Amino acid sequence: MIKKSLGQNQPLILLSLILLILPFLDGGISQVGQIFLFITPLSLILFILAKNKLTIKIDSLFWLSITFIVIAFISLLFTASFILSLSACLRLLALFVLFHLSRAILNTPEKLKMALWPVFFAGVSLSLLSLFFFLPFVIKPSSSMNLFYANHGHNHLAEYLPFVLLPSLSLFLTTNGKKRLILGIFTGFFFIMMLLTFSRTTFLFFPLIAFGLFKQLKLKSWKKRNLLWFLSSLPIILALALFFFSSTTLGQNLLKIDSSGFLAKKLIKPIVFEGRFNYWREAWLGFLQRPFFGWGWGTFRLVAMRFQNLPNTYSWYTHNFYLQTLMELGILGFLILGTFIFKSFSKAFSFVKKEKDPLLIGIFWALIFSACQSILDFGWQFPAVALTFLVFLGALTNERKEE
Amino acid sequence: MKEKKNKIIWLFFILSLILFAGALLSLIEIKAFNLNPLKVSKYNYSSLLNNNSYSSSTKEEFITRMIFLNKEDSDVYFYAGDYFQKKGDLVKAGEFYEKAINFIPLLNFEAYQKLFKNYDLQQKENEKEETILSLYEKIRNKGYLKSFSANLSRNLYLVGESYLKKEDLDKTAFWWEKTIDISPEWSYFYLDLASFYYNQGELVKAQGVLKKCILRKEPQDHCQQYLDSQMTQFNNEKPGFWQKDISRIEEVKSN
Repeated sequence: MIKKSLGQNQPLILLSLILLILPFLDGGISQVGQIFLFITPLSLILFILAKNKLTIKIDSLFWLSITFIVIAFISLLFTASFILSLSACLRLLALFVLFHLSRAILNTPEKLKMALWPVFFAGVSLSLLSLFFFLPFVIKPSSSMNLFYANHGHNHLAEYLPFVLLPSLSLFLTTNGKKRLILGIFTGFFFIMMLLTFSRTTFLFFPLIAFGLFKQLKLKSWKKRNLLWFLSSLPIILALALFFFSSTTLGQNLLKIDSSGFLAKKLIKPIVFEGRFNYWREAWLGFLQRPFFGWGWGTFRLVAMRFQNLPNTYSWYTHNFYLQTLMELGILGFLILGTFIFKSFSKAFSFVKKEKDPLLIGIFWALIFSACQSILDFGWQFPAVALTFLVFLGALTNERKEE
Repeated sequence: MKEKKNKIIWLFFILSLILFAGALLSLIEIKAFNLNPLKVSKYNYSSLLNNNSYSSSTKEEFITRMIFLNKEDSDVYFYAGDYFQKKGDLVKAGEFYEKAINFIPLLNFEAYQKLFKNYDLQQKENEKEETILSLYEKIRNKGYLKSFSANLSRNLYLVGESYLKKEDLDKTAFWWEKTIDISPEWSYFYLDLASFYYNQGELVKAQGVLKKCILRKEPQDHCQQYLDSQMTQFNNEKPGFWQKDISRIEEVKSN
């Protein structure tokens, strides 16, 4: 029925389109990506107004999110850099509007499933693109701020993959027949791609998420349990191996010999050179200096530079979204964000528990995965990742009434 | 409730219009609004200030607007400082450089070089010394810092040398002692300090400096030669002997 009416459901098509395109525009960071992000809400709302069919859901999440937006915009008055905060605030506003519009548009699980297709397609394409850039003769992108290749740090595909890996895994574990084979192939592919991102933080969180997913799916077969152990242990082993190898003399020598080498940069990351500790320290000092109003949304890079205790030990992002919010918007912004996350996850959990749909369970755990990654990484700074997260979160926290 | 919901959709419509305007602003170049916050990058500021087609008053208006848009971004203050330095308004240039360094103390040493040059031109010796000391406090005990260590120790050395010329020996020792904290890998600083003590007749102190030097791998051999010969070289190599070599340790680009 949904498929038949898809042609008439322009908002859903438009939403799917932005979900599909944004990941390829440097994860939404490029200027074109930003323009897409800014113009989509108006197009969506015009379709909605024309049909006069959909309504914005007003609940606690609405009020929490609007309060957060207001706090972010108030920070423009106190910001350390208006220019940085203004564009960051507009990006946030676009995400806020799209979150609520997607709650209105994806008002049935079927529509959510439809919106999963472009994400799935983007996930496959980004993965293939990542593989392509592994080829030695290919000219690599100069920037690392994209979702398929990184010159330094890990491949940020790791932050996008949860949205396709977890739903695929969940469906693979609960379906039978031919479908299962296809889902198995995709799950395996996404899992291998996740390993190839060399994102140590993703490796650390994946086992926890996999356990949560398995527990909620209530899987009893020993084959599936073995699969769980395999899927959980492999990233952990790889993460530990990377930590260990980085601290060995062999690893250090390899880094000295070929410090600019692609693999050397991915594999050898001694914990003593871990930049995150500096970024967290800088954010914390920033927060202590301005605990109430913060430094302004999107200004972490300036604060990091100010509080760095050695030259060039700053980053544009805190590598912890929550801490960055604490520093940029002060205690109130942080509390509102925390309440929003907690409230929305509890709403999503009760919905998923009620529905018992494996796909929805997979999406729910993908959201948890993304929220966990944001403790140690900056995936949500990519509008494509943040948008996918918010669209799915909106769909799982909406009332389920067929319009 | 339904009415409220209807109103909310209009609120979203207005927000979407704002975003649409944001998209347009980030695309369109408006001549009258040279510093469009969604279009211009702060890295364009420097070229704006160097563009000869703008008058001085226009450029100074740009500076005011740049600072409004980037209140605590040190780069902007550097651009402003460079502009006023070039214009010959040393007082304003100095103020901007000071603010820039205050916002980001460990950006790079080039920033300090600019400020020091400004202080030299204004003959603000005390301010220069205070800034050097404050940087010393920030980076001491932090090991070798590319571009900072060699440059700072050279500046510490030069301040000490200026006091030596004025025969203020306590201050010479004060500044030269600090050079070896910052650049312990260079023998020149130890040797000039040891020579200073030796020529004051403080042989134990001179020997102490050389003994400290041989604990380090890099300057060890050089200092050991002086210890082996009972420091007799210092009879010819007076304090300041290594000045030329010290000035060649590392050069930093400076406007």
